[in-house]
This record gives sequence, structure tokens and C-alpha cells, in this order.
Amino acid sequence: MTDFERLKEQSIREWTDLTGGTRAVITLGTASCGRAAGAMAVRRSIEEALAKHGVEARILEVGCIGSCYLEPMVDVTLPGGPRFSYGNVQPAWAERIVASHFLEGKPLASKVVGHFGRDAIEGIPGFFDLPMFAPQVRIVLKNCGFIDPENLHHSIANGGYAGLHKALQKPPGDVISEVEAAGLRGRGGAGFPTGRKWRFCSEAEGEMKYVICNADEGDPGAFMNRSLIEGDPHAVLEGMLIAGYAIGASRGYVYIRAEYPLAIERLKKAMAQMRAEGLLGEGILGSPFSFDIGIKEGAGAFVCGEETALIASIEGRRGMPRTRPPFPVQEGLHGRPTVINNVETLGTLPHILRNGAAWYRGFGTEANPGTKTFSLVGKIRRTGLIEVPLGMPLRKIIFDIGGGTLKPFRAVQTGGPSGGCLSEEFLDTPVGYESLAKAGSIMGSGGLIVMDTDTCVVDIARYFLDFIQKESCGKCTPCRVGTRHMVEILERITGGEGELRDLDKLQLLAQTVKKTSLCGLGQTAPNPVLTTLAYFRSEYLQHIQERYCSAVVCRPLLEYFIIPEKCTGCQRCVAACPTGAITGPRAEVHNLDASKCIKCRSCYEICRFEAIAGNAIQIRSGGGL
Amino acid sequence: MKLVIDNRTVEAPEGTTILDAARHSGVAIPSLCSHPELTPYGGCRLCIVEVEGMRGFPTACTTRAEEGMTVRTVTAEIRQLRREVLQLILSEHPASCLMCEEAEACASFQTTIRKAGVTTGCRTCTNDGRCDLQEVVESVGLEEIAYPIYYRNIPVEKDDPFYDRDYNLCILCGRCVRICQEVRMNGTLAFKQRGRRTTIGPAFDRSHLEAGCEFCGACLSVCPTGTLGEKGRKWAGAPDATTASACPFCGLACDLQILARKDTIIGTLPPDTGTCSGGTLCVKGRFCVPEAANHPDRLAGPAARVEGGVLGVPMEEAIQRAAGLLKGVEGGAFAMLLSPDLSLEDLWVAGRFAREVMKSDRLASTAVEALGPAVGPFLEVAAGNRLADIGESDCIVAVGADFSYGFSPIALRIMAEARSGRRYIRVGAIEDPTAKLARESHPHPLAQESAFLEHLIASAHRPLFVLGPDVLFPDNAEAVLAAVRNFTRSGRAKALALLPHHNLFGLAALLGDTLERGASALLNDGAIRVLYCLENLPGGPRPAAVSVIHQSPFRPPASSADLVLPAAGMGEAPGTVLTLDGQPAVVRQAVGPRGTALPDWKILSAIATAMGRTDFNYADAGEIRREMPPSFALKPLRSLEGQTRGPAAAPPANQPFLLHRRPPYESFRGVALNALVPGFADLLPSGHIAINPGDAARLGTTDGDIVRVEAGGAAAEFPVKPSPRLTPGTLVLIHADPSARFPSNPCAVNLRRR
Ligand SMILES: Cc1cc2nc3c(=O)[nH]c(=O)nc-3n(C[C@H](O)[C@H](O)[C@H](O)COP(=O)(O)O)c2cc1C
Ligand code: SF4
Ligand code: SF4
Ligand code: FES
Repeated sequence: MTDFERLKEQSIREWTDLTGGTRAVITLGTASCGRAAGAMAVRRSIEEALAKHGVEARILEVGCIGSCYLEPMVDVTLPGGPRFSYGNVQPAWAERIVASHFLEGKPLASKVVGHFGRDAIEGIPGFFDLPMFAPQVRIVLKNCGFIDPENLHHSIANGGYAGLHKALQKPPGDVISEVEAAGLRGRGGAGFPTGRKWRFCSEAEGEMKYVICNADEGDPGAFMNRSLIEGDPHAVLEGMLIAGYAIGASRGYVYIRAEYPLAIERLKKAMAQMRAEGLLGEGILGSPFSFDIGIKEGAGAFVCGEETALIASIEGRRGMPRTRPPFPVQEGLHGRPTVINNVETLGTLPHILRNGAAWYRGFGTEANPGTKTFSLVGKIRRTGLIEVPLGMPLRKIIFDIGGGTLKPFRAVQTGGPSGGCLSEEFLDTPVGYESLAKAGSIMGSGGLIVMDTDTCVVDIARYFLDFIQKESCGKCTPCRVGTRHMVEILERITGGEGELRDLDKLQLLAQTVKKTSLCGLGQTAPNPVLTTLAYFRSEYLQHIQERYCSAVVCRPLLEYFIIPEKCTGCQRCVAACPTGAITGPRAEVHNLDASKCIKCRSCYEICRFEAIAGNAIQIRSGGGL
Repeated sequence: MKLVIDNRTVEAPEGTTILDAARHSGVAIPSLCSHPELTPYGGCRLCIVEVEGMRGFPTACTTRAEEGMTVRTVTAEIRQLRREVLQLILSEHPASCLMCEEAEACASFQTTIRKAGVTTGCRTCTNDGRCDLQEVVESVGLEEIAYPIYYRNIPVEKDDPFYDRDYNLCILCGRCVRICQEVRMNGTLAFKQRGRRTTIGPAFDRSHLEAGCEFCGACLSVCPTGTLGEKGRKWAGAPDATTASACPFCGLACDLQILARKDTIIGTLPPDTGTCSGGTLCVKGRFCVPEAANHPDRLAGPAARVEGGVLGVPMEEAIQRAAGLLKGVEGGAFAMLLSPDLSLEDLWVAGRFAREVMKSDRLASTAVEALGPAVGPFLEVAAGNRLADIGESDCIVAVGADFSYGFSPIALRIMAEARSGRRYIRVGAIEDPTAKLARESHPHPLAQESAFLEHLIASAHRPLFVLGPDVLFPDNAEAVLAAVRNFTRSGRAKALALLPHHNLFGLAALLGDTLERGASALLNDGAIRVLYCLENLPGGPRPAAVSVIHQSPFRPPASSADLVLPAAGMGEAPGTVLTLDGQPAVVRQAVGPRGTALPDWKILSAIATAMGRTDFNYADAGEIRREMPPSFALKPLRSLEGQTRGPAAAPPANQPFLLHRRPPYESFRGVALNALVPGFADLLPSGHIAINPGDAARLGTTDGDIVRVEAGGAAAEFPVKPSPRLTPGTLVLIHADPSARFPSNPCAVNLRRR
């Protein structure tokens, strides 16, 4: 029996002992999203409830299962029974949930959201049959929410390191061929075929080579990579080992932003366990392959996700990109051949190696095989982390998985701040690198920001560009200065001072910045502007010509007024207004002096929510201004 | 390698960039951030081109030329994009003048009222007329900027010596950062902030002084805009003459270019690299020349002391007066003091004058005396100096060498060696810019000098000692030098002694065995009737001579001389000096002498002639050179056997600081540089206690506070000068009289706030 088989046997024993139906287990989602929603307080009240009722259960902290809108999540499994899931659990419920399961022997029907059992249960849906999960295919996220991410044995019992074990039996060239055959494309944004990147690097000359895991993830609203590391760090680390073996590297780095303390901690714990079990360091799993990994914490600059800037940052220099070629596979870290892969790319590799290229190609499309994770955020009912086969239309993602928007759908921004803003006519676009690029957007690392009619797309374009402009490293002229002019033009337009010729200026600037910027940050920065100019031109025209913002967002274009019929004369708004713009005797219709109004929204909120007020204050745009 | 650029097949050497290949074949591509001495950057984006088979618009400066490449440098789209990019650059650079239709009229008639609203424009920029940006605008051809101009409103930085910084003009090309890091290996400059706030300067908001800036001016030399402005040259305009010459401030005599305008020296630049060059000069050569040349104390004509005051006299009459004073004074009654900055020609004529006309061999130099009794062995070691040894040794040990503000070319060569893995060890009190590359750093040894040095080079096969001037002043200097000399004599090690004066070898050649004769002993023996001070006026009270003749470019202190003769100053007379590796260096004339000043040899010859000699009728310096025997050059010197003046004790607990003293040996024609150039006094002031900033903070003192220095019974007060160059516990005092007031050097002292 090999070292690995022994390790695997031991792991399975431990896992079966926990989940084989002999123990009560309470599973708690304690990734960053769970913690932010209050998971740790829930844990305390569960412990108290268990103690109070004198019952015993193992509490298992797991990563995020994806339905972030349901956090904090608590799952209860009793010996021999299925696992039941509760969402949005408040500490006060703990007692009742524990009592219901342990004393009454049944789930708390009013709160349960689903079960993980094999057979149907009357009145309770299967968790993976929930509309959010039914269309998903979980490969990378397979273990997230199921295993204890801080336990190496849990990972191994669930298939972890079997891919590495298999890879080590083959010559490195065959490992590369397998990845090439699987057609895996880089999940960091550009979609460059991973196998081909490795082939270049393995053919580059050099004794010393490096593997870098890019966990910088700086897009606002994106959290796929963080979630994966928090939920299954071993998948990513195993991927790095496979990459290292394939290209002949002996050293790797995880470049991760310091704002991800939990992910960093989990990586460190995972690496310590790997070292203890011979999965890191000299002679991994008894093979001649040696590999070690270091963690580099980044200071959180968006541009440091760009590979040459990332290398500069690891080398202790300012994170500024340089022109390529030479590419990192030729001259990377310390001038040596280096493969840089995204967290998700790496996390997918163990599954490909374990199940084979053909299996992986069974998902997705010919040119875009496999699955991709997305963080679904914005004006959408079900936010969270999802994984779907590539080629799924945006409509299915947004409306079936995400449950659609509350107000009518207006746009979806793919690819984070440097992606494009797509209108309704693109909803049937299958998600893929080329199809999104054709629409003027990018896949990016997988942020999906959904907007409804309450969102102003001109304002959104301004927001993203402002973000990029502040994150520009300052090295090259078009990105540093061009985006600044673009932001100022957009500020003029959203400020009601736009002119028609500003649109031509924007277009020209956008083209210049796109074509002449040094790195991807500048080259993609104009995307939100270019796409909104193309698909939402009428909104720009409304802002400029009619001083009208249909989403009622752009403050200088808004007007506050009182609907006389609704006003109860309660004087609440008179007290709330900081400038004294509202006047009127008690019990009579009040008067709002627009010239004094600073559009701070105080009166609107108070009139809407105070019981005695009449929801009489309205905000409108373009009303003859 | 062959490639096609704009439909022409051109040849280019392997490994060049497209930009270089294009330039080579006469195709001009506009560029701003690239610079021949620096690694490619690709920031300005002006040099975009099209390359068949490559996506988008690669930049010519960063893309390697390859066999068979097809490059297009001008297409309609490239032209349009370049103009857009240039507009973006200019929208961050207040430069409305570049597009102004009245630009030409404005240039001849000064600022027009049309610019009233613009505080900064080319016509009020110190860089006007020598600006790369102006040239690029010209070549790209812009008529207007379609964007608003951002004035960043950054306060102009004026607190550091020698140059001001107005980052409102900066285009962030990064040349200054790169030259500071790549060529100077210093690293003071860095990019700061992101996005629109991006700017340049030392990290962590330190001043340049605090960040370890050497004020070498390399950044200034490569800046394509007026961001970095030389204080001394701000409004001087473009030079109308450039003369290749040598720097007068130390024994390296670095090549430099003297820039002059209207017969006045306005600045210097490193050799032959145009306005944008790398920087291999130190702060002295880069910034101190014009200030020394145009100092307000420059003499424009002779003066004589008469009853009741001082009288300006014509040169003719001054010569007659000198002849009169010297008449009948012969042998021991005549003495001459000489500066080690004089040229070989001046020294030769001075030697002949003293020995043949005055029949006296009483020659000495206070500057040599100030170097202390170890100067003999120091010069003996120096006789073996070979600059090439730096590259040929396997271990470099610098002793008493402070490369902060001097000997930069040596420091750069040492650092390059250290960076490529050569062993580099430092011994000395000061943390200079080479320290970060040193394998080991040690304080000056207080005893067992020979064993200590032996130990440092124990594993080396070809060790080289680099001896800086600071090795001369500790009490055990002779012991240290004797140890080094023993190594060089036995062939165990080589040595390179860094001569602090321009022509110390020349003076040594003239003085021969009498080099170490103390000038003060000579002055006090009571026999002298006339003392001739050739650019070497002793400090302190007026010497006990009947008459003093002072010949110098600079005015002497009041009533210190009976006759003052104006000598030609910096760059005003040609000559030759012996550099520290024994090679002759040629100093050229860049401007005419001030007023009626004359070269030193000419004045001496005129006096000799007036005294009836007929063999002092040289037509020019060349004739003197032809007369000088070849032996009038470097010759090995007799030297003292190492005699320590008693080792300094390690600091006792109640005297926790070790005070090192040294004279202000950075000088020019007998005057300390920190007395001539205020900016230099900011760096190395005399009469201040330089102290580690942490130590200063612990004492609760800041720059300029007075502290009391106590050692045994002795005590004295000085202002403090915190400096990052000092390690904790170390103090340095630059003082004209090194023996003053303290029992030993270095000396354990206690420091108290007054
Ligand atoms: C401005 C900018 C930011 C980027 N940020 C990230 C990031 O946060 N994470 C990431 O994996 N890739 C990021 N990338 C892409 C990387 O440069 C690189 O292409 C990627 O890490 C390669 O990995 P992959 O082939 O596995 O996708 C960024 C690129 C740019 C231009
Ligand atoms: S495009 Fe922006 S981020 Fe990229 S190098 Fe240029 S300035 Fe820096
Ligand atoms: S100071 Fe001058 S050299 Fe430095 S980045 Fe600015 S423009 Fe370029
Ligand atoms: S010269 Fe090439 S980008 Fe500036």
C-alpha cells in the first residue's frame, strides 16, 4: 500500500466516523459571508441550547455553500437521518431548532429550507432542487459547505489529492497534455488555455521555475476566489502542486490580499497539515517531486492582480505592470519562467486530473469547456456564489438561479469594473469568453452585477471608471490621465451639465485609452463606457438633453415635491429638513421650496416611514427642469 | 539582424529595441520616457508602432527588434493616437505656451499679458529652451489641447539644497526614479500614491536629505521637463558654450562639461551626454562649480594695504609693489605656502620662483599639514593607485571612505562589483550609500589595527583596500596606514588611496622630502620677513612675518595681507593636474578671468621679471609644460614608520558617544567648500556635531540645538546636525583645527542638551 493509499484510508475512516450516520452533526457556515451575517453568535447559542437540553452533537464549521443571501446557515443531521438546512438563522431560533430535532425527532418545519437526503421528504424540498441550485453544476465548489476546510483528512476523504497522486504517476508532459485536452481556460479573466501556458513554461529554459496562485481578487463585488479558499483551500494548493509538477517548478507563491485574513489563516493551516503528511516539501508522497509554497500578502491594489505587477510586488517593488513580451512564462518572478494561474483555475485542476479530460469536457461547450463560478450580486433576489456550465444563457443565471430582479431588469455588468454593461437584448447570450467579448464585455474573473430600473447606467459607468481611475498605477499616460478626463465628463453628464459633444469626446478618449494603455487595467477600463454608450445611448441623451435620470439616481437632476392630497401636515419633514426648505402650519399641506432643497432625502425617508406621515414626498427627474 | 521599418530594410544588432533600431537607421519615433542609459519603461506611450503579427500598438521602446519583423512607425491611426496621448500628457502639464500663437513673440519680448491667468507656462519655466517636451510637441505637431489642464497644486519643494522640485510639471516618465535606482544605485526616489495622485519622491514622506539623497543631480540631468530645477542655474537660460574639462574638487578630477553663457560659468554636466545624461559626478562636481566660480568674494583686481586702509591698485603697480616687498629678501627670510589645488604649471613656476629667485627652499602647505602626520604613508600607498584594481580584486575593504558626497565614480564601481557578488567590507564611522551593499560593516579599529585588517582579508586572494581621507585623522592613523602599507609592500593586498585634493600628487612632487614639514613650525621660527601665500592663507592670527602677499581668486579676511593679487578662478585658466591614479588630467579654460585676474604662473613670472629675471617669459601654460622635467611627477615618498599617538579607549558608560573629528578637507584653492557653497554647508557643515537622528531624538534635540560635549575635563559646545548617515553612538565634528579641545581622536564623550 502506498503512502497515499494509507493516508486516504485513514481519512475515509475519519470522515465516515463523522458522517456515516452514527453521530449528530450540526453544520455551520462560517466563511466570511457567514461570519458577517452573525454565524459566530449563532454558534454560541447552539452550544447553549445543546447544553441546556443535555444533548450532544459535533459542530462542524464549513465554508460557504453559495447561497450567501441565506447566511447564517445551520444544518442539522441526526444519526441515521438526512441533513436539514436552515437559512437566515437568528440566535434566538437555536433553541427551537435543537429542541425540535433532538427532543421531537423532526425538523422545525416553519424554518427549514431544504434537505440533503437521497429520498424525497414530504413538504421539504431537496436543497439542490431549490431553484438557485437546480441549474448549477458543482465541480470546483463541490466540497465547499460540506467539509471542514481546516481538516486535510476531510479533503482527502472527498477526493482531495487523488488528482495529484494520479499526476505523479505520469510524466509531466502527459499531465500538461491532459489539461490541454480538457480545454481548461484561465479563470482569472483572459481565458488563456491553461495547458498551453504550461507548455510554454515547461519549454522555457531555466533551472528554477515558479508557480504563482493569483488570489488578489480586487474587483468590487467579487468573492469567488476568497470563498473557494475559505471553503476548500486544499483544492487550490493541490492545483499548485499539479502545476508545479507539470512545468518542473519547485517553488510556489500564493499572492493574496491582506484583507482576506480568514483565507490566509486557512491556507496557512492547510499548508502545515500538508507538510505533516508529506504533501509539501521534499519528496511529495514519496515521489522525487519536491515543492514548497510561500504566502505573499498584497496591500490591496487592484492593479496587483495584473501578472507583471503582481510579480513586481512579490519581488518587493512597487506593483506596476510592465509591457509583455517577455511573458512571465519566459521571464517571470526573479526573471525566471513562471506560471501564474487564478485560484479557480488551480482549484479545478485536481478534478480534471482525477476524473480525466473527457469527463471535464462533458460540461460546458466545445470552445468553453467546464464550469465557471460567478458571484451574483446587485439588485437581484438571490445573491451568492454559483457555479454553472459555460454556455448557460445569462437569462437563466439571472432569472432562474438569481430569482430575477425586484423592479424590471435593466442591465447586467459582467467581468467586474472593467467589464461591459449589457442590456436586455443580450440576455440570451451564452456565457463564454468569446461571446461576452463580442458583446463588448469580458468574462473577467466572474463578477455579475445585476441592475434594475432603480439603477442609472450612466452613474454606474461613472462609478466603475472612477474606481479604475483611482486604482490606476499611474505608470502610463492614457490610463492615468485619460480615465481622469473620462470620469470628469461623466461627472458633468450625471451632474446635469453635459453637452452633446461630450459623447464624442468620451468615445474618442475611450478608444485612445483602450488602444494605447500598457496593461489590461487601462485597456479594459473604457468597457463600461463603451458598452453603455452603445446599448444605453438614450439614457445619456436623456441626461444631457432632458436633464432626466430615469432611475432617479443622479442627484442634480432630481426634484423633490409634495403631493398635496397625501400630505397630512404632520410637520415631521419640517423638523427633518436641514435647510428649512419645507414650511407649513400643522395639519395643513406643507410647502417645499425647491431653491433651498439640497436633495438630501431626509424628508423623503421620514414621510415614507413615519406612521402619521402620508408618504407624500416624491422624487422625480426631468420634470421640466 | 534585418528588419523592415517603414518599408525600408534596416540592420540592427541583436537585442536592441525597435526604438533603437529605428533611431539607428534615421527614423525618428517620438519618445519621452525612454533614455539611452536606462531600462525601457513604456510609460508615456508616445512611441507606439504597428508590428505585423503583434496585436494592438506595441511601444517601440520596450519591444525587442527581431529578425524579419515588419514595423510601421507612422500610419494615420498611429499619428492620431500619438496626438491624443500627447494631449493627455500636456493636460497634466501646464503648458499653454506650447500651443500659443504668440509663442514666438513672447519668447523675444518676455511674458505677454495674455498669460496673466496662467501661473506656469514655458516662458516662466526654468527649463525653457532645453525641454524634451517642447521638442516632442514640435515633432508631433499639436495646435490645441482638447482637454482641460489639471494644475495639481502641489507645493513646490524648496527645502533641500541645490535643486527645487515642482511636481506640478512632472509627466511621470519615471526617468529620475530609474536613474536613481539603476545608475546611482541609491534608491532615494520612488513612485508614491496611485491614480491621479501619483507623484515622485522619497517614500514615507521623508526629505531628500533624510532619505539618503547624495545630491548627485542625476535625476535633474535626465528630467525631460522643468520639474527639477537647479537653484543656482534657475534663470541662467541655455548655455552658449560648453567646455570639456575636469572637476577641481578632489584627486579624481572627473571629466565634466563646463556650461557657460555670456562668458560666465552657469553650470556643469557629466561628460558628453548632452542635456539628458546619466550622472557620474558627485554633488561637488555637479552643483558646486558655478558657486565657487562666481562667489561674491571673488577678487576682480589687486589691492594693497596703505597707511589708513586698503587701496585698489592696477595690476602693473601691484607687480611692482610685490617686487619691492621682495627686494633684498632672500633665503630663510622668504617662505611660500601653497595650495594642493594648484596646477602642475603653477606649482612648477612657484617652485622656480622660490628656489631660483628667492633662493629659499622654505615651501609648505597648511592643507597638507591639516591631513595630519599619516599623510606620508598615505601618499606612499597612493603611489601604487590603479583604478583598474577595483574590478580585479576579489574583496574590497573600504577604510575611512565616506562616499556620501564625494568620490561617486569610485562608489559606483564598488557598488557594481558588490552587486555582482564581490565581497565588500566597510570600516568607518559613517553609513554611506554603499553601506546597503556591504557584506560587513565595522567601526574604525581602536587597537590591534594590523590583526584586524588581516582578519578582514583572511579568505581573499586579491584584496583591495580603498582608503578614504577619513582614515587620516584618528590617533592611530599611522598604525592603520602602516598595516596597509605592509600589505602592499609584501604584495598581500593592493590599495587605492582617495586623495582629497585636486593636485596633491603635484604638490607632493614639488615639495619632495619636505612635504611633511609643518607649515606652522615654519611660520613660527621668527626668521620670515615675507610670506607668500599662494592660494594658501593660514587660518588663525596673522603669521609673524613682516609682510604677507596673498595670491588667490578670493578676497582674504580683512588685514590678513599687505598685498592681494587676484588669481584666475575655476575654469579661467588652462593647466594640468595629476589625478589620483597618477594620470595627467587637463583642465581647460572655459571663460575669461575675472577683472584683471591672471593665472598664478603669470603673476609669479611677472614679479620675477620685475625683479630683473629674464628667464620667466613663458608665452603660455604649454611652454611651462615643455620645460617641466618628466621627473616632475609622482615619486615615491619617504614616510614615517607607524607611530600611534596612543589608541583611543572604548567609550566608558558615562561617555557613551564616540566623537570623530576631521578637517573640512573638501576645499577649493585654499578655501573650505562649505564656506564657499552654502548648499554644501547644508550637507557637511563645519563646527556642527553630526549625530544619528534617533540619538538626537533621545537627547531631545533637533537641528541647530546647542549641545555640550564633555570628555574628561574638557568640554565644548556645538550645534547639532542630525544625519541618517551616522550610526547610533557615533558623532562627527568637522573642524578646521582637529587637535582642538579634545584629548584624543576618536574620543569617548558625553553629550548633554544645553
Ligand atoms: C488589472 C488587472 C487585474 C487582474 N486581477 C486579477 C485577479 O484579481 N485575479 C486573477 O486571477 N487574475 C487577475 N488578472 C489576470 C491576471 O493578469 C492573469 O491573467 C491571471 O491571473 C492568469 O491566470 P489564469 O490563466 O488562471 O486566468 C488581472 C488582470 C488585470 C489586467
Ligand atoms: S494601464 Fe493603468 S494600471 Fe496599467 S500600466 Fe498603465 S497606468 Fe498602470
Ligand atoms: S520629475 Fe522629471 S524625470 Fe522624474 S518623473 Fe517627473 S518628469 Fe520624469
Ligand atoms: S518612449 Fe516608449 S513608452 Fe515612452
